[in-house]
Amino acid sequence: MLQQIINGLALGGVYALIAIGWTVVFGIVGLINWTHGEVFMIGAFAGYLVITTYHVNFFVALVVAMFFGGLVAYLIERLAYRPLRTGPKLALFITALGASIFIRNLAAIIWEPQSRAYPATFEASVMTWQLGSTVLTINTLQIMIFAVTLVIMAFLQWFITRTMMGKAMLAASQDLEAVSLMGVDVNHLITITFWVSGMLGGAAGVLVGVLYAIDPMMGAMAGLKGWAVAVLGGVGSISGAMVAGLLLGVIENISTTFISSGYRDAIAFVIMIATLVIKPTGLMGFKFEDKV
Amino acid sequence: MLEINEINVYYGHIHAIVNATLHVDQGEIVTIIGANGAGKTTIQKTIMGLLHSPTGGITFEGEDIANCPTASIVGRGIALVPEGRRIFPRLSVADNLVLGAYSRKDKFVSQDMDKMYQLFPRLAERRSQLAGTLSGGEQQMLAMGRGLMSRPKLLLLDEPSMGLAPVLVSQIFHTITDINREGVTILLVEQNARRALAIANRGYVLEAGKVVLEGLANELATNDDVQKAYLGE
Repeated sequence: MLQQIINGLALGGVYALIAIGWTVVFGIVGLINWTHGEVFMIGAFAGYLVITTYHVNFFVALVVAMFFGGLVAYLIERLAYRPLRTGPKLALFITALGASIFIRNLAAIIWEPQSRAYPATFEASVMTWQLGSTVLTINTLQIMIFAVTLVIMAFLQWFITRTMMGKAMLAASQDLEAVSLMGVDVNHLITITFWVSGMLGGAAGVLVGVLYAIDPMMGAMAGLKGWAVAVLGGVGSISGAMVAGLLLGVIENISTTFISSGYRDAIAFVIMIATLVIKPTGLMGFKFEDKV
Repeated sequence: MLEINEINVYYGHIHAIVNATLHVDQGEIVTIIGANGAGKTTIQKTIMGLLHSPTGGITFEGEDIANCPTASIVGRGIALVPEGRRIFPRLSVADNLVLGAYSRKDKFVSQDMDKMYQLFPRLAERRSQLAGTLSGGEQQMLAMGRGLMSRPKLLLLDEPSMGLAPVLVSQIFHTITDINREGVTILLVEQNARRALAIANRGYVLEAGKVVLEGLANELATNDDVQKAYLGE
């Protein structure tokens, strides 16, 4: 059991990154961002290409992937979403869905649809740890991935609670019009939001890349899981997404042992539905009553 | 200071503001009174650039602001304390105030925070609390403090007394006159016409999007039509 929790944390950290990127956009623009999974895929490929072509180390690849993830998210917002922002929500929703399918298939044309694995970027070793009668094995790769997600989340937490732009982003997820009354340029704010979202998605792409194989369709499931995690955490809540991501990673891993690995991907959506039925505001969703 | 000239505002097919012309001079308290749905809030939103008039014009200190984005209107020195307060419930009281100063580049923001805490001592006690946990009256004070943090020359107030207990209403109106005495010009939208006219220099009466009457506040308060329609006498 403890072993499953440890295994789940690395993947859970990645889920958390994807979900945070999803939830910041939903919180501010109110958009179910179908392309978020594609931004994640672009990050995975950017990292792969820069490692195989230039033989850079993992951390350089991470930064490159974050840059391209942010750039692609920004371009999607600029080209596909912004012209429709004042239009009906349904038009935006369908555009997001269409953009997602377009990017996924464009990637399949450019990079070919088969899956591939990252070359080993550093020596991963396995540590064993005797704990009473159980022996735990921990891969240093898992530790590194978990550490990277923690650093990114800590930096994000600093950004949103300590900088003016970050505070404005938090405020915008509560009342976008009121934020504009504070003198915040809303277009600029939304641009920053998509950059942040894309950078988180790109980082998650590389982290998944070093763990598993990558392919141009990988974004579909990741995007949906990001959504499920965001719902579990409480839509729009960044800290909720962090906790829910880790939770899902652990639960998935436990379930593969106790149920079946075939149902692995279904777990996220069962949890999502259960959340919506039992506590629609999620783990950390807020709802303040209007005060009279 | 603020000149609004023949503006028309539409919500789809609804003609919400019809050829409205009004002005606010430096140092005044001007009030717009009228029934629910008369267009009072619409006028304030149009001043802030949240809504637009295809005709006429709006100038502030002689410059055209009718087509400026909201952020630049705030930067020029107009702030709106919106109807329903619209504070950020999941941010602390202090963070709400800091965001009010978003458009400022100067170094006196923390000094002004202290000023707000003097003006509204209840906010000082609760500065690290989430704004959503405040009472209605405290939220109104926070909304006004947040609006003042941009150091506006002109402060627009939309229904500041709405939903408050009578003792708090008196306090809010006192604060408005205090703020005005400090040199901030005020355009006040109110349903509580009696209280609004009592502190205002001039007033406009809005009916179905049209300015039907304007004049000095004490004249409006004694006008027969106004008394019947808005003062319940």
